[in-house]
Amino acid sequence: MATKKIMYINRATPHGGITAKESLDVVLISAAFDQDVALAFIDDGVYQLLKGQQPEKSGSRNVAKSFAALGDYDVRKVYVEQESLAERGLSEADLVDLRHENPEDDYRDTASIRLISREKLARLFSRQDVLFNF
Amino acid sequence: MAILHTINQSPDAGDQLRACLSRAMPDSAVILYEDGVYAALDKIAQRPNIELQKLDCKLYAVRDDCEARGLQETALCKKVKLIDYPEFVELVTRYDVVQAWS
Amino acid sequence: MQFAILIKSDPNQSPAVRSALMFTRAALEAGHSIQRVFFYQGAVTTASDMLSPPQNEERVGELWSELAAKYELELVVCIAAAQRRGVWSEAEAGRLGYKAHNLRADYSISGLGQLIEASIESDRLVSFG
Repeated sequence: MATKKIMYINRATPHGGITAKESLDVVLISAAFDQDVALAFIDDGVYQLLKGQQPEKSGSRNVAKSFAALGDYDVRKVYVEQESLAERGLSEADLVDLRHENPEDDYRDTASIRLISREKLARLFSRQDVLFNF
Repeated sequence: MAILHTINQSPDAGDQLRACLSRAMPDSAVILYEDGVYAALDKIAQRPNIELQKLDCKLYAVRDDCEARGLQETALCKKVKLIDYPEFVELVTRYDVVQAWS
Repeated sequence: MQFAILIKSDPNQSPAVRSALMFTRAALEAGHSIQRVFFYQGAVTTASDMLSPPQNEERVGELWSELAAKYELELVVCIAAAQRRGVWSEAEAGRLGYKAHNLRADYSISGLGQLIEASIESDRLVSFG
């Protein structure tokens, strides 16, 4: 099977519905297909990665916690749009610390989240073979 | 590699259009369909935060969706080209990837 | 060209299921092929044969069945999304002890792998809703 660049663009809030959860389900399944997978969090999607969420207080599932497993599924590219953070008064320090073992660097423990400008991310969208939106 | 963006939400119902316009590049195209076609109304298209006439990329709206909603062609922004579904299909084949905003 | 079609929205909340039908029909009539049509999130309710809209309303689930029969389309419903929203095949309902099942005959229930596979194997993924 061909290797494709697949990007998941996440714009949904984590607790306004089950979109974030159903998006993550697709991402985790796609890991089994050995594709070039990346995640992008833009607009309200950046809230999904906020530290300190207590979803049990609204009866929802802890999506931020589930993201911690991404590294184990070989999902290593997690892009967060700088402008989306800034527009919400947030910075990288407010986000969960996702890690993976980097096969290109002797499996060194490496941060998965990469901050990226809106313009660069838009260009990255155009270099994908498949775009999923949730 | 050029993107075909699709928008199916009225610009007053959510931020799909804003999200798309702030990231659309000159070599891309935007298709307005379903409630997305309301953005093609000249009065909406001219709003300072939308300004479709200033957009670099190509802009299309699905004719059936405009007609279903009673939008007269004369009331639409001149930059918008009306298309039918066979043309929608054709556009998907001409662009490298589809970005279906939701 | 070969397309994979993904539909995400509930047919009662959005026209996405119908738009996807219009696109798919136009693609097939133009000589393109459809790898698979995948129903996810709210769109899975399209596959219920217990939906009973008023007589004068279009039945989009049936329209999909007709198109699928004509072109031998594969209509796949996500199992997790379907169970969450009460769409059951006879086999799955029996396995979990439910008395009723409501999956339309022309649809099959499967996992998300079918969506990923379709997006990899086709030339374009086109999403609606």
